[in-house]
Parts: sequence; structure tokens; C-alpha cells
Amino acid sequence: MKTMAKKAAVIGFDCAIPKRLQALVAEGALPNFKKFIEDGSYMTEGYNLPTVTPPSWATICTGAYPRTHGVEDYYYYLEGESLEHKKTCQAFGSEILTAETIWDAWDKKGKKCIVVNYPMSWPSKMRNGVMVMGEGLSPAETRWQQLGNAHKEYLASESVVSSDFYPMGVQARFDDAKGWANLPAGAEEPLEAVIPITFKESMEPLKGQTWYALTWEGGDDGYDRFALCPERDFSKAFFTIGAGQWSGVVTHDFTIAADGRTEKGTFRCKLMELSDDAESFRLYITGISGFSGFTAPAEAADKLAIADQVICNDMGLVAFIHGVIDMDTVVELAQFHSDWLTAAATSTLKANPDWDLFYMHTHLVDWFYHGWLSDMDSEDAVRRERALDMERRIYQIEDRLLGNLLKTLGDDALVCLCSDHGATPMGPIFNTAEALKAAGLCHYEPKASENYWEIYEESEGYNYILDVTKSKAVPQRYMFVYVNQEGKYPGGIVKPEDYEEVRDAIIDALLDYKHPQTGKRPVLLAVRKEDAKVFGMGGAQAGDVVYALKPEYMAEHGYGLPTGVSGCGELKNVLIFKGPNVKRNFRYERPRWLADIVPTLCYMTGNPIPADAEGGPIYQIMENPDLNGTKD
Amino acid sequence: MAEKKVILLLAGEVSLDGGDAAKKFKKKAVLVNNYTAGDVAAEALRVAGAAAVAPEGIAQALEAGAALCVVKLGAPDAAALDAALAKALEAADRRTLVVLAGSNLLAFQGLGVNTKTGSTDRQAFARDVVPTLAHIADLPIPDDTTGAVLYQVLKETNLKLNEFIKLKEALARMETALQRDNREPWDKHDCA
Repeated sequence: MKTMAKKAAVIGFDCAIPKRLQALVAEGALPNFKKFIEDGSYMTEGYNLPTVTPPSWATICTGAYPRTHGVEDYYYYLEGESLEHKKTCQAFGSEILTAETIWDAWDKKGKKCIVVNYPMSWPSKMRNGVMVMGEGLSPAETRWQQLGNAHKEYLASESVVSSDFYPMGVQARFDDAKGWANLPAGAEEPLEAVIPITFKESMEPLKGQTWYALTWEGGDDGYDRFALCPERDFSKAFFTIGAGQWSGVVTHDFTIAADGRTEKGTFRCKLMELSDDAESFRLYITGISGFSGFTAPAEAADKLAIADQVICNDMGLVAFIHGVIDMDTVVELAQFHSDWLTAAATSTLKANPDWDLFYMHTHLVDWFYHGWLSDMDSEDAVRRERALDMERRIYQIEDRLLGNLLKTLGDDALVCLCSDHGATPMGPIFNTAEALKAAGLCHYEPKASENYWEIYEESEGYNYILDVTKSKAVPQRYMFVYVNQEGKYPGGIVKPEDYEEVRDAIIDALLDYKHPQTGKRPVLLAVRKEDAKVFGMGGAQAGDVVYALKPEYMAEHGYGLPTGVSGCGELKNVLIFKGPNVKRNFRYERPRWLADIVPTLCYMTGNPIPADAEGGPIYQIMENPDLNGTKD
Repeated sequence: MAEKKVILLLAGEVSLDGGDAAKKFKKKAVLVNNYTAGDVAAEALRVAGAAAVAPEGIAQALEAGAALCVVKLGAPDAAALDAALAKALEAADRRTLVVLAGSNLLAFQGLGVNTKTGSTDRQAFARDVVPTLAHIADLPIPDDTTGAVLYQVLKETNLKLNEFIKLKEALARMETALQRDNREPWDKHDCA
């Protein structure tokens, strides 16, 4: 049947907001997205719940709703733990999925699937396929079972060396250079800084090293040349740069602390600042990118063309928050990150020309909105324009990635572009515990801590520790409240016969609560767990009450329905198809759920549907929806 | 060893046009052209942590933790001044201020000092030497100090204010990091 596509691909852009994408396409900033939309079918109403990363990507690869695939929040509740939110861990990787993925279903039929940096994919169960680790947001990192926002990566995370104090870095200063070999010719009064560099957030902890920075006057206008060296020998310098410049990609040996083996890693540095007296300097060091350990099969790593690439996990957002780098540098890091992904994906595709299915996710847009979406709605014109300009540059990086990937995927592939959710700017904070406490359902004490940084929580009214042994109801994660059942949870106090009464009281408390700042009800809906099955939630990982907020509360996503719109943002997702048998330049305006992606890909390529898929093929975007030939 | 140190050389009439050490000192020094000399030693020695030493003892005194070495040279000839300056420059690291106060000359060089201006025409008095070196090197000033800081010899007029700003920024960064590590579920999460 010639209308069948031979191959299928999903390229996922985390947190791409449909109306922002359309605005940037309309101004001509995104030629590849524009062409893709013109060549394909665009769904104006892409839905999923909850509007957060892990459950949504789990749906996009299983065709199942969260109640079925077992991931219902950014965080995961571990059975047997106390219900306190801080005991929950990040929900990434394939181990927690209770629904079959599309690649596992196709793999069983001998198809070759390539999965790159897909948050819910690692570890791989495929026999024929190739996977580049996705167990978090960035390639070659894991967040599964990590608390808070912790993560680990191959080989280590970003850092900074500076004359100033930075919590994430190493403080060092320049003194007279002594005992150096091969000093740069003509360098008068060269200075050295000894840097006891440590490597953090490693999948396998690395031994620290001592590096040496050297600075000298290239002319007669003060210190302006900066070299970083692994020993006091300038001929072995990793690089020489000036203020504001990036180094090239450095490849260096790193020692695994546990077994002493050596791994090669790449990194780049940018000299953010160097004063002419060398008293003040700041060198940003990207994360150290490894070459192996994150592919399945392991030998697939040999085919990755990443020798001149650096991963740049989170595009430096944490370094930006810490005041290490500026917005322009974040955009540069975003480009490096995208270059790594593009190189890893295209080299894997080229090494496996017989591929049948390609799944990939890229996270740049989500990091950007977490950092700057609220600025896009700022009343300060300078702040707003700066954020809007950065948004354009981030989407343009993704546009170039799309162009490069489409070239490699070829015209005979059925391609789906999607995001997992949108985002809305920062609104008033809703503290669920406060609403429950007001109704006498949970108990918390002000924190006795004298820690000065907690004055912020105090001033916001959130400076407390919830006591589960005195709470009938415990709020947890983004959309849940649990009935703290005796015998079921550590510290549980609600007897089985009181369960429904407490649950009703929780729902009433949430719905009756008026926000002190707005005087209005922030809760859009609050239902019993089993009622949440109607919108795809309410499985084993859901709390006893599931609630959603109005979109104007909280930020940036995860609390509201996908229909939510607030300020410059909205919570629905991007969903576009292109390829054989897909209508061109077509807009489909009824709601479609992310669960429909897998059934559509399977139906349109004649491949097996995974065991637990629940969505349906989007027949209306097909030139010929009757692929079973019943009309013939 | 103290982090910031001062070597204060006190002398009669001297010239910086003599030997190599004097030339080296002068190259990056600020000369105070309109200087009224007087007794500097008495006030300098009342600074907590000050030590009176001979040129040969400067390095040892700094090593032992002295924050201010007061070196009385008397009326040195060109060779003796050059030898003393050589000892001072040798003992000085990048966080050492070297001050030469003669009966006809006042010069600052090193830590916190402008390396480009060469000289200043502002009026200065002997009583200004101690407040200036204390300002630069974070030393306590004696209770009876009446002099003023010679801002025009500093590498930046607001040297201390800029140091405070940097410290405040560092504190803010630490607070941000600690807050980020202590977030509650209702706090803004950044997915990074």
C-alpha cells in the first residue's frame, strides 16, 4: 500500500508553547518549523494531563494515559515511604513504566528503533535498537530516584573558577608564576592561579585534579591572556583565551575514583571576566562530557560523532541562577547542547540506515521558560524585550536542529513534532497545606531553624514543617492530596472507616479556599482519585484527591489543565504531523491527546501497536484514513 | 601570613632615580607631588600588628604574621635606599602595599594602588599615610588618627565600596544556592 509510511519519527521539543511557536513562525524566525507546518497537519488543541515532563513523555511513547503507564507527576512516590513531599523522587526512566513503549513493541517484531535522550527510555530493553541514554532532561544524565532537583551525569557537571566566591565553584587567585616550563614568549610578570578542581554530580565520582591558570600581558594594557593548564607547563595548555572568549573543545583524561580507570571527557571554558590587574577573574567550565556508558548497546558509542561536542546539561541555567554567566552565554551553551544532540542523533541514524523508528527529545525551550517566561510578561520593557529576544534565539536553535534532523530522516518518514506541555508565567503561590490546615486537616509547625536563608519562606508564610503524625491529609507533589491512612503510611492516623469522610473534607477545603492575595478560589477542580480516571489520571501513583489550579496561579506548568491560558503562556502542547499520507497545510481544530501519537504512528506505518496504548489514530489528518482497505 | 600586608619605608631625603630597585618601584608607583612630610613612624607603630624591622627582616616579619612592617631607613644614600627597596619588593607579593615616605617624597606601590596614573597633585600630609595604608590593607587605625585617605592613589576611588559590593553579591549567590537546595513543593521549580 503506497500510502503507508515506511518509517516514523517523533521529535519532541519540551515545553514548546503553541502560540509562541506560531508567533515566531509568523515573524519568519523559524523557517524549518514553518515549512514543516505547511507540509503537514497542525493540531491546534493538543492536550495532556498532568502538564509536566515525565508523565507526558511517558504518554508520547506508550500511547497510554498516566493512570495506565504509571507516571503521574514530575516526582514519584515510593511505596512505604512517609507521604511528605520531600520523600518523593524524580520520576524518570523506563523502570517505572507500567505500559509498553512503542519501541519495545516494534523491537519485538524485529524492527530497528533509535531512541535519543528520551526522558522515559533508559535503561533500554531493546534487542535490535540503539539508545542514547535518556533518564532525565539531558542526554547521558539520570534523575531517577534523585531527590529535589538533583541529577548525575557522564562525566561531571559544570563549574566555575573565580577570584570571587561562587557556591558551585572553586575560588582561586593569581600570584607570581613560579616553577613554570615553557612560559609564553615575551610574557612579563606572568601570574598563576592554582586550582584544586573537583568534579560534581558524576554518575561515577571522579578524582579531583589540580589545574593551573596562567595569565600575562599580551600587550602593555594589563593582563589580558589566560591559559588553563593541567600542569605548570604552558606547552601543555588546554587553551589560551581572552576575556569574553570561549575555548575550543578540550579533551582530557579523568580518573574514576572507585576503580582508578581513566575516561576521556570533553569540556569548554569561557573567560567571563579578567581585570587588567588580574585581581578579578571568572572562568566558566562546562560540564565534562563522556564518551561511553550511556548507549545501548555499549558499542553504539563508537558510532557517535561527538568528539568535538559538549553536552552542556541544562544549557547553564543553574550557572545563570548562580550569577556565573549571562544570558548570551546561556544561548551559546544552548547551541552547544543542540550541536551535541544533533551530532549524536544524526550519526546514529547514519550508522543505522535500516532504522524504522526514531524518538528524540530536546529540552532547551523548557529550561528557557523556567528561567525567563515571567520576564516575557514583565512591565519593564527592557526586561521583556531581552527575554523575547532570547526566546527567539532558543527556538531558532531548535529550528536548526529540526532542519538538520529532517535532512537525515528523509522524505519517506512519517514525522511527528510535539511538545509535552506548555507553560504560563508566574502567578500567586498556592500553598495547599495552608488550605488544608485552615480546615483542620493537616498540622504544621513553624520551622524553629535560625537559618537566615529561611527568612524568605517565613516572609511568604511557608516556613513550617508538616507533621504527618498529626495530619489527616497530606499534600504531595503538584496535583495530589493523600488521606493519611493508618497502617498504610508511616505515621498514618486516619482509620479505614473514616476514609471517605476525610476525602470529602479535603475536596471541600480545596474548593472553599480563597487565596489571600486575590480573594478568589485558586482551585479549578478537586475530585476523588477514581474520578480523575476520566481525564487519564487516578492510577496507583495518584493521591486520594486529584486537583488542578486555575492557570493564573503558580508557575510555569504542572498544576493546571491543558486548556489553561495566562499572560503570554498557555498549557496545551504542540502537535504536528508530516509525511506520507498526511494532509498538507491542514489545521485540525478539535482536541487531540498526546496518547494519540503512538496509535497514529503505528496505524500509518502498519506496525504493531504497543500492548497498553489507549489513544486512537488521528484519521482526520490522513489523505487516506482507510488504510485497512475496507472502502475498496 | 596576613592576607593583605604593608611595608612602610621611612627615610630622610631620597630620590627614586637611583638604582634598579628604585626604578622598578617607581614604574608602577603613584608619587604624591604635593606632600608635606612629618612624623609617620609614631602613628604607624600604634597600628595593631605593626612591627618595626630592618630591611633584612621584612620577609621574616611578614612570614611571622606582621601586617605592617615599619622600616626606618634614617638618611640612606642611593645604594642603601635601593638595597632596602630591593628587599621590600622581594618580600612583597601581589597583596602587599609598599609605601615610601621620605622627607621630600611620598610614594605608594602595589596592593590597591593605581598602576597607570604615575602621580597625583593633590595635597597630602604625613598624617594621611596611616589612614591610607590602613584603608587599602584593612588594618585598624589608631584612635587618634586625624588624617584622610588619599583616594587619588587608589586603583579605584571606591575601592572599599566595590569590595563590599562583591562580598554582598557573593552572599546573595550563597543565599540563592541555599534557597534552591531548600525548596518546597510550592516553590517555583526550574527543571534544571
